[in-house]
Amino acid sequence: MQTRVSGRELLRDVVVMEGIVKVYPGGTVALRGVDFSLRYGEIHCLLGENGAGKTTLMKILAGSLRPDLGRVVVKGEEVRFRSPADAAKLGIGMVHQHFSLIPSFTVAENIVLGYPEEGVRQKLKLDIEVLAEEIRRFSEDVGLPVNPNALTRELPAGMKQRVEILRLLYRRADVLILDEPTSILTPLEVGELFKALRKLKAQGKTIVLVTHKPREALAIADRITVLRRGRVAARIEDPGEIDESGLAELIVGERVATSVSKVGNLARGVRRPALTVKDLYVLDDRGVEAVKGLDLELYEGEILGVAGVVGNGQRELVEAILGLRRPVKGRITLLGVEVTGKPVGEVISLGLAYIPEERLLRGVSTELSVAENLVVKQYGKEPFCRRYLINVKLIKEFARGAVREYNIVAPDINSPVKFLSGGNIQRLIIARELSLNPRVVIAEQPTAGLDVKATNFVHEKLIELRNRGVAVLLISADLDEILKLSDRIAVISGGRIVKVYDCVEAIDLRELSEYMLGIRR
Amino acid sequence: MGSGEEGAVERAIVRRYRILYMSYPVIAVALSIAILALVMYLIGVDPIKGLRTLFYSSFGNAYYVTETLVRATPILMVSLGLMFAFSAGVWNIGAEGQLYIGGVAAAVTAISLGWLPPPIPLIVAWVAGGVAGALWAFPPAALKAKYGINEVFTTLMLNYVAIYFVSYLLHGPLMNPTTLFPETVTLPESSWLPRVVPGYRLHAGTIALFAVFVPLTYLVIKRTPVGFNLRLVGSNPELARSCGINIGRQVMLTLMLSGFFAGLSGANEVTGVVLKMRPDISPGYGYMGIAVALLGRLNPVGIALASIFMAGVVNGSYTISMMLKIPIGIAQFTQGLLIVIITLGELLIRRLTEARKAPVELKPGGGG
Amino acid sequence: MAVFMDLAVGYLSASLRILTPIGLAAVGELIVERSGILNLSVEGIMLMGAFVGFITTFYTGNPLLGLFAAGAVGLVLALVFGLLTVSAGLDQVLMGIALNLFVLGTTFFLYRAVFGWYVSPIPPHVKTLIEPIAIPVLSSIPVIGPILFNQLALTYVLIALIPVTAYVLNSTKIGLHLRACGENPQVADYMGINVYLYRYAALAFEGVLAGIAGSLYTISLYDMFLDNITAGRGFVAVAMVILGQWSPWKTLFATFFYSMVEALQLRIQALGLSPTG
Repeated sequence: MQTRVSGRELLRDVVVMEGIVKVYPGGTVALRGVDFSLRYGEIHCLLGENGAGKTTLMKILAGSLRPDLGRVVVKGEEVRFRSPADAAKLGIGMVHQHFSLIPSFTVAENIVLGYPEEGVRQKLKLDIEVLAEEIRRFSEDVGLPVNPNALTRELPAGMKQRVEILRLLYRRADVLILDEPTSILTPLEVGELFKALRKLKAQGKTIVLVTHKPREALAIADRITVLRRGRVAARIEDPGEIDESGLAELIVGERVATSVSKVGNLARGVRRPALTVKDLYVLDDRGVEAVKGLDLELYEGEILGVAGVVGNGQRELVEAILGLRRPVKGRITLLGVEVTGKPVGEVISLGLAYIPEERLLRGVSTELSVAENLVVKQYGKEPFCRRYLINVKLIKEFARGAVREYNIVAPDINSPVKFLSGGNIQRLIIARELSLNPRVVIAEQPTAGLDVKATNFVHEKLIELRNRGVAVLLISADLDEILKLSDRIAVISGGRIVKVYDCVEAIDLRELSEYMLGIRR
Repeated sequence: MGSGEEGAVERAIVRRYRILYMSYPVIAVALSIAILALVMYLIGVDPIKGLRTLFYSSFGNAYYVTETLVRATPILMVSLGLMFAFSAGVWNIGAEGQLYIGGVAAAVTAISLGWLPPPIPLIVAWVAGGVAGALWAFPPAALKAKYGINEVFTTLMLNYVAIYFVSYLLHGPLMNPTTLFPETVTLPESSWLPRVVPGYRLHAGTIALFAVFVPLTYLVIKRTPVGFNLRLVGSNPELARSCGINIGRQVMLTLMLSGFFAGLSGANEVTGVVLKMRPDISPGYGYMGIAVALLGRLNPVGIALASIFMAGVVNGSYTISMMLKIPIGIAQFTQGLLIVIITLGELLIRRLTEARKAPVELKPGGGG
Repeated sequence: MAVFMDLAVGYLSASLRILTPIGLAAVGELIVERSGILNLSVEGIMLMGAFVGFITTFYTGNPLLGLFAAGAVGLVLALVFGLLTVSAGLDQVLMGIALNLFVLGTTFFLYRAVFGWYVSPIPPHVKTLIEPIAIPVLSSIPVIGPILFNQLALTYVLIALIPVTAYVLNSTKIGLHLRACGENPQVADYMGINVYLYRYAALAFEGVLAGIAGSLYTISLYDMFLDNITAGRGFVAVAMVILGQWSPWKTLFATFFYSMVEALQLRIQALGLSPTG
């Protein structure tokens, strides 16, 4: 891995990263030995699916994360950043997906915030008017004009992004990393951003654009690096040589759609709908429509895989079905009963089980014991509760049985769940949800962060459910998982189901990824 | 239970956690006794003699024991109520005010219904006390459930309002017209809690509390869905929500329930010990209840023991202050000390056991 | 008419006397809250300040030393609070309440430890007080003279502190960074601001102010210490900051309004108009 950086590269490359490995606590390997380089004054696109390791790699470059292995050379010197401030000293700055701006501050205040000062006098005084004028002139000089006195919270997303970029420039950054900057922009704003980036390039700045959209990469990049599951899948020196579909294939990679131990589809003719979603509109936490006119039909005895890039309305869809989020418009019917806007308890008692994405937030209570967590949805009901009293003995018996059956490794059934590993917590959740004898199961990223053994276990359980006639809605960002398990696949993009494949075997992967990435609608 | 190899480390961690968790109340008590001894030494009293006297005057003979139990009664009552709130993660700091309101309501009811045959005035007075306490907790409960306004500040401020309000009543409409002391007239005998042993102040309220309330609350918090709901909401509200529990309703329920208990505590003091409402009805039982609930690990049995300990320190300190010329404030001092040590220890244990999930990022800063 | 005038002058002067300690504590609390901490232990800090200020003045006969000691003990308590909440990351509200109860018990105890259990019917009191300063010439102006120019030095300090605080908060980099710590500590940290440093500094500032404010009750407004003499004034200060929407001027006005009400209540009691008759 320790190849020497040649003198020529030193002159040409502003950043060289070699053999970068990053393993998150919990065992997820984000980067498996990545080489990456940036040339002075180029626009470089880092392309890949969610979870490919793009953001992790860039956070390492920007000093937010430390690599476990590998070295980083910036402007000819090997560096070990301890904080973003260290990276900033060498002119590297990053604009994150979530803004690091203070909403109640003005644009000018946000830009000068924490700026390393020279001299006490300057530190004490902050002449708003002089400062605002300075920021205005500065922003016009670099070609990204802003109103320095505007309140940041009132700015549209594109302007906020501009403020973040200006803040980096004001700090004399010459390597700018933009993490998925277009995901929150309208097409018009994207155009403006690209124009601005070209201007910055003309001023000699180096820009990294992290994206999952091939079209954008082709529109602006001088060079492209494609990451796939923590490895470099391709380096494209001349983007003119490749087209969108070619890139999409590189992003997704070779896939084999194999099905394991599935008995054939249940008789197609008499399939009964288990869950029907009609023309659904749901707002996200910010009050923006995340689900817009979504239609979905899930039948008994099938696994319907919902494929899509994270953040296309999956979370809001699930929350609306569960009754955790009230839809603005539309109808949800579960097993023949309309449940739109009904309270959670009612929906659950119809026979809906839920394997949530955020296990610690929504799956378990870490302070309660293994046994308690196992009955958290039914302790108030027969047979665990009779005449207002909970039968603790029965709960323990039940818990012991579940621990044995699902191979949950726990110190004992009375210990708090916080002492369990991620895989065992997922086993616990599945044990609990399946003990409810559900007729519909929603599984949200059910294997994210799990090791191979636990992943296989989850897959087996889902297939077992389907074979018993249960309807399974599988929402996953992992395309391999979707292809492996699903009977049918629905592609979600921009809050709508844009395509449904009724037959998994015949899927054209290139087409599927184009639907996912929003190239095709 | 899985392969032994895999579970061994976890088992060891859990064992250590349990030992720490179970022994911490004992450590806290021992630590405060040690600091107490040190303080006695510093003000020139032989700590051994001081502690011995303290112990003797709270548990040394039958009379002292009954007195300690009488003192423990209001503390325990408040604390059992707070247990429900704290279990659900609702921090009711307003028990002191709820106790005052409950006390004055019970006194007024008892005085105006005194002509009825016993035990009707007594029962109605207790119900009135409890309900008044619960109603006093209603505004903070509603503000918390509806608008998410932090209950700590609202309940705390209502303590002052309650104490001033009661003081106004006792200086005004409820003042004893013959003595002109700021207190109500003595309650009619029909509303007194019956004494258990002649010559002792031990009354039926204490017996009822230890014999009925402690087992009952134990049953409710550990063995019913109501108690389980509260613990689920307290430990993970987001999970509780996706299990179909209405969080707002739980907040209302626990805050008002703990207010109810605090109100009962006031009624208990009025009908069982003081036999009238006075502006100094409580030397801070509402606050002691916080320490006792935490010291008792939100478990009724633990809370019962902790309340007896606290009552012993309060009573003992009265006696030793006379006998050894030690300032009486030693009870308040110990109480303050205990609260600091307990809260500190409680939160530290929680942090220590969560340290396993150390943050990944070197520096926080958004990013997906 | 003259009687009415005297009443009004007396009333407004009394309001200003009530205003001073609460206002000082509120300014401190405002800075602390702007840095992102809710410090309920300000009540305990004031009470401890009241006690230490009293004891020091009682034994040295020098109220200025009393003020100094009160500020020092306030500083120490505030830093302890910082240690628990800023560094150890413990719950601010619970630790605030715990510290208050601790101080309540400790002062109760120490007062008796120092003066003995059998405190004579006349409680010990200090002989020299922090006295109002009559500004020459100006204070002899009728009506406004006694109100505006015959007050405690600390009242003038408080009045001066308001524009200074407003200026520092809004027009200096220190203020900008302090506000950033309060609004979004992650962003502040990301931008290279030392959040811990700002929070500790804010707490130290509050500790000194609240300690001194508390001592005014025992060595200026009264000449003795009583149990829980601050009686929730620290919480009032917190409430004033919230009522004043975290702005120095609005907080001052809120506190002034509160002081007028409290002074009015005292007047009514003194005039025998209270319902007690």
